[in-house]
Amino acid sequence: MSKILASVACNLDTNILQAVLPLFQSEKVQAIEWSFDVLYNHPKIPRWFVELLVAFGNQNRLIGHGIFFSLFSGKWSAAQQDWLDHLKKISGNFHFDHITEHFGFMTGENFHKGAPIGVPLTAVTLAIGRDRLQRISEACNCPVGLENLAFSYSLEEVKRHGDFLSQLVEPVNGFIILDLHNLYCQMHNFDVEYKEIIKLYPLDLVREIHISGGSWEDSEVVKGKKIRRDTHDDAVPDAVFQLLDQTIEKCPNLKFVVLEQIGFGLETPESKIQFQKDFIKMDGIIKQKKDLLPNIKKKSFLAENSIPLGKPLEDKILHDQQIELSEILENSKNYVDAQNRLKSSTLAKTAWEIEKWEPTMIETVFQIVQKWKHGFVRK
Amino acid sequence: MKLSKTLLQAIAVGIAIGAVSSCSLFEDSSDVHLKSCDEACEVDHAQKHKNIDYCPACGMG
Repeated sequence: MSKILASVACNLDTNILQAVLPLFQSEKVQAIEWSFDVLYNHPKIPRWFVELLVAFGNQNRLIGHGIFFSLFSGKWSAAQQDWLDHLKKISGNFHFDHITEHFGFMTGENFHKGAPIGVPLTAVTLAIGRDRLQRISEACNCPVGLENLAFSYSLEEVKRHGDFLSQLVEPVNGFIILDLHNLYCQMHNFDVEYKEIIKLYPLDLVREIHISGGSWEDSEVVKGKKIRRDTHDDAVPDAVFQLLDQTIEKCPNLKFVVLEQIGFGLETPESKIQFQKDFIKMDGIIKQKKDLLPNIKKKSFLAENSIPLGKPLEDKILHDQQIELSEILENSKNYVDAQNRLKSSTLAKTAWEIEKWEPTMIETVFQIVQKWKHGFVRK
Repeated sequence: MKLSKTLLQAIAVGIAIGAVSSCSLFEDSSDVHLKSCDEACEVDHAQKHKNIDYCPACGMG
């Protein structure tokens, strides 16, 4: 088995770069993941950052991680086409070993307002997701993958997530990112054991693993219950390192393990040192596994056939439901109001199965959308 | 992976200048306000919120 690369999520962010620089200097970082669409409207990248991307890209050690494509939006948007055009352009400038995006759709009126939340797992969303992944594959001309989402509305959805990801990436011969902190969120929030949840994921399709920290939110719905949130603003918990230790050897096609943290969580010298310690610990776990891994040739995950792309698939009913859900979550007075409005919405008694949504998860999705709805700004 | 000394120095200088942020939308504006601000708001949100929650490179869950 070829090497697994200890990697960091490295964006044009002062705090992240300050935290990562000593790891660069000591030659510990073996690959970097760049969120290429964060600077989407502002392409002035410093020359030295371009050189950093080129240096890793030339060694097949640069991976691209999209945030804002909104894979499951029911209506195709001009912003999505622009995103693809941008991806095609930068794929000509930098050599990406693969490109990934997130499961879900973005609430909000544009790419920089709103939050990623889930969609029902149906034939309609499967077809739209596949259509979008084929367009990404065509734009970047390298392997394409999809990340599991931390948030779920119900336990039933948690149980179906892995299989649905597998079906989504199948036409592009794609892979999945297994985010272990997202898995940790689901294990805690839905009281599921690791041994039960891990077997629900297609581990032979895992080419990349993410680890990160997060935060706890006190539930108002169930007093005493804490909800785990994927906020990336703290150190990696021991429990997530344990998940990494247990999972690596189950993933025969694993190539990258990436440590993620948001810049806001790296403001103090102590947090930067902790980030470096987390990286060293992650690297140590990877190295311990080296001799336990099967010596097989890894899958390339390159698309095998070019599929002719027609007009982007759309579904008006799904689009209308997404608009209505976003409006309810952005404008309700509180989660109780949101819950009541959902019951009388067009989402009731549909594939969204809002009747099965956990009250604590309605509370959580309300908080997530409220957090990001202002995204930015009036000028 | 080994990076050249020249590149490492350039990164160090770039960070020291402090002109980078994941959040590009604040960089071109000297008069940015949140939707919730009053018309008379004089807080410089471009600086105050640089690099925090409004720059979701990751961790939006």
